[in-house]
Amino acid sequence: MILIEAGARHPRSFEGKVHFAQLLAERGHRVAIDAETLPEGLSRALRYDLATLLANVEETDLDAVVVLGAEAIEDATLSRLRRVLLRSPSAPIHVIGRFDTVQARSHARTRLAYAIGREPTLVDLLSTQSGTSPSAVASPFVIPVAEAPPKDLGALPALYVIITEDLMEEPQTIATLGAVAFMKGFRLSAVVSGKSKERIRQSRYAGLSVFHFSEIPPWILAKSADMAAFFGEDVPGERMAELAGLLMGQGKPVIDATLGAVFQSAGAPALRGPIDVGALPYFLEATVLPNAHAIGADALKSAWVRTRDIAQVEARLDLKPPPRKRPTDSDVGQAVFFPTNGHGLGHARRCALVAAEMPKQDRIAFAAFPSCVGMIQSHGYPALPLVSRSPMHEDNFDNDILTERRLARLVGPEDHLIFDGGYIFDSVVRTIKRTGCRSTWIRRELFRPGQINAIEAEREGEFDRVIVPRECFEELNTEGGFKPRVHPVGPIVDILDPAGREGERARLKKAFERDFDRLVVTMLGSGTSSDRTAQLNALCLQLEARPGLLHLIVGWPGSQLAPGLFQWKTTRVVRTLSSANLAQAADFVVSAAGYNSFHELVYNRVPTIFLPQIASFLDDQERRAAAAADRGIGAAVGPEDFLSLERLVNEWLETDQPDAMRAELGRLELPSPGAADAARLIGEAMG
Amino acid sequence: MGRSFRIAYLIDPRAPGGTSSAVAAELRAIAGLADIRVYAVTSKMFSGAEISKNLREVFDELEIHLIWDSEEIAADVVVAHNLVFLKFETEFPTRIVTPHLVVVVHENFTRRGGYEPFDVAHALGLLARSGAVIRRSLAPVSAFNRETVANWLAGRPEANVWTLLSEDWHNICDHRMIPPTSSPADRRGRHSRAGFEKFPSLDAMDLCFPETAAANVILGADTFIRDGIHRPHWQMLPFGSVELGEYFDMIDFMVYFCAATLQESFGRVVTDAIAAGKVVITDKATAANFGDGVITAEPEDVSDIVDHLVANPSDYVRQATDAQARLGAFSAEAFRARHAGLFDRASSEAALS
Repeated sequence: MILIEAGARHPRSFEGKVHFAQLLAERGHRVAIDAETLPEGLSRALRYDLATLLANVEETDLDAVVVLGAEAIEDATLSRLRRVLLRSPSAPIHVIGRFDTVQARSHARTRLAYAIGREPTLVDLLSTQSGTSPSAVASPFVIPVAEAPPKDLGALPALYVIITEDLMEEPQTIATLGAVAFMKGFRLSAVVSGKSKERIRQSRYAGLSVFHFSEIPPWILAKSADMAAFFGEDVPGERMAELAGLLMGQGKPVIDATLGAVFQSAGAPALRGPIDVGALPYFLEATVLPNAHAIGADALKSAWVRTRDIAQVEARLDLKPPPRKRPTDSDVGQAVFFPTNGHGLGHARRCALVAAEMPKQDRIAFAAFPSCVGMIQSHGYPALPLVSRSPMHEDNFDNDILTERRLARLVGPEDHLIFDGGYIFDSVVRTIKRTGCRSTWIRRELFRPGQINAIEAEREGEFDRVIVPRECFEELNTEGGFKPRVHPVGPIVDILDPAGREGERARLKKAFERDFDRLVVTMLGSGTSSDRTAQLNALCLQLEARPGLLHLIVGWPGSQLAPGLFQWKTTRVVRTLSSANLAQAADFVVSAAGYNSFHELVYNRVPTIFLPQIASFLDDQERRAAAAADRGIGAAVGPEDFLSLERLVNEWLETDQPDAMRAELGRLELPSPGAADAARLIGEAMG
Repeated sequence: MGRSFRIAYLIDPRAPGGTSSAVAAELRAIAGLADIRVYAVTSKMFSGAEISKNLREVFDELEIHLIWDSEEIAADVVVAHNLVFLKFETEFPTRIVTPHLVVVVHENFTRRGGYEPFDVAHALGLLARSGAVIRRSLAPVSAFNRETVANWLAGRPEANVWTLLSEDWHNICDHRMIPPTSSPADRRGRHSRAGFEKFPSLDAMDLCFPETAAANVILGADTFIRDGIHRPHWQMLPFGSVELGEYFDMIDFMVYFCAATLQESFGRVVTDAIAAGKVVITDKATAANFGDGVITAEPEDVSDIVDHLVANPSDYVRQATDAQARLGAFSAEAFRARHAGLFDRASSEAALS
């Protein structure tokens, strides 16, 4: 284990050492950051990075220690090293710094030698690196240098446009950026300050792909970018300077469109470009794209890049990266499904249905939250359990940090990550960018008015493809115009054999030792988004006195059901992963109108009284319920309308209305289910 | 009658520890020999520090008024003590006019491992370029110190304006000799500045100052205190928090090891302890200046040595007494005799001719 330490105890220095540690880790070194040095107020992105790096180094056998920023070593750092090295008395110590005088060099070496009782190896970046850094940096500003530039930039190269705050404040900049993003030949993402990002989100260009400077660390951004252009007075901070360096090290074009030509002034092999964002597409088309390979090759030959090669530092410090694992036959890509748990198991069920249609069943894996794991495994797929959010966590993304670590075990560059969920977690974006894996987002629609939130719009661009399972009724679908990466498919729904209905009723009679002639099933959700206890109790009370009736309240394992529901004689509570069978067996169902339940009920021809969930963060269930009611295949009741619910239930029990509806459902023409199409699209992308 | 022989001292009087103690003793030693002026420099190295207590006392005692950051220093001999105070300066604007500039080295020019502890050429260069000087001498404080300076000079022909004084400029130990106790106990201690270089690893400290000792007094333990090192059996005292006499009353053995990367150039703390009648146990390199006056050991041997001397008080007394006898070599008289030629005009001029 190599401990990476910084001379100064400052958040900037800390970030610098995390950046350097990540670069080494990427090259296969086992690196650690001392957990004791964690500063307050870390950025969210940095906390994700640290998850794989932090260690209790006093309990760790160290192979080496690298101290960065050695020109300003603080006593606290020296004290800490004295203690840490007690366990590893023979670990070599290396110091890296920028020493502008012989005295500064002697001072750093001597202080460290005195503190730890050993002589360190010293690397003076000022004497080894050609040119200067385009921005003051706390990290050593070393970069992995590729042997050759990328063969080509692909059909739709990813262009990152980095813009300083002062330029973003000019009134025309956002509009220009929005216009440039629509031009052909590249896929644009803007990288701006947090304040500017918020301004873009509030503007009419909210759909622009945009990151703020500290949102994704440079080492991850650099992997997903094919080229970058820098606009404004100068380079907006060291993260962006590092990003530029990393791109140049990969032989990817970097365009210096800064007013002061800061990259060129620093001696860096960036291409001087137009300072006007609006002129960028023409510059790309005429100059950069046709010559990208030559531009990259020139960058790789430059002294500025070569003298920053991290391999040189490795050689100086005798840090040998472990040999890279050679690809084996077992390294063929797999499809990794990552469904969120949402408020039921809908996402996981949808993924399982798509997975079942995929041709190579031995190349499928799942990462899923605990509530979904059993269901996925019941379909025969391995499921890596993730950690759910918890009020015990300090921040609401703490569990997602762990998710990224677990995804790192499961997803490699050759894999295809299929995410099904509304909110796209940081772990998903980081995994895609870090591994460069192919990616698909399965995203249902039927948004509430104004609900298309910024995160969805922003992060949609992170996926290679978006698969949109359609609603079964046309008026519920959004006609969003032509979007090359968005692929609508038919409703993804589990269709049961109608012949199974009688068998299921017989099974239930036996299981509950009740010879019922009427079966009512109630499925009002997991209780997470809305508490439906009052409605459930009202139904139980209403149905209690009816002879020959069995009422089943159905919930997912883990759904919140009030203990009082277990006291009724006519009502039984069932927790199950296969509610569709129970619903199919029922005379009618009282249900919420979530995507999966709704489509299962419609496609399996089950008359239903819909009580839509109305939480603002859910899809527009009221419109689904209304669409069913309009077609005479169900009824829609407001969740607080107890009287209507009671009246409808009595009416449906005492008349043949459910049978009429069942007949109507049988006559209904429904779109073909889309699971097979979704599987085909994913399969195509996997090759 | 001609004017009196003038000696100018060039120091930063805020330097803590051995250098200031040495200068204080030296001023007392030569007070009657010449007209002494002390030129003080406010160096970046000791920015914010107070004038050392030892020096403050001697300035009061000898009625010396400091001359701060003077534009010019003119004297028959200028003695600059410990040029390390110049290491962070980019320029030294004071003009030195003297027939003989003596730089008392104090710091070794190279550490163990061969590296310079500071940019020696830069500091010497600042002095060499300032003013009109006929002869520039480097005065080492010990044999080992001399070796580092000679080696350094040998590798740098560009530094040939400097010559090595033939006699070491040893620290003057003018302590009052206190007889050793005849009933020593396992009471151990060490004193030094708080710098990391003055301490061995924590493992070695644990060997030197074990739980089994009746007392372990660490004077100058500022870093241990700051870092929250928990050793209930250590009495950790900040540097300067008690008088040396009070500290020596608490111990019978001075156990002194420093960082493996440091070699003491003189070892003033050792002379403090010997004069106080204590037995000193230290490493071989630190012991070099004091012959058999100190016991050389490795940290793991310390407890056996202490046990033996506690069980054999006569050996303890003999060791401590012999050591005190050896301190005569570092007396004021010895210093004056050794450097007599520097402190009167005739000898001084003869040396220059």
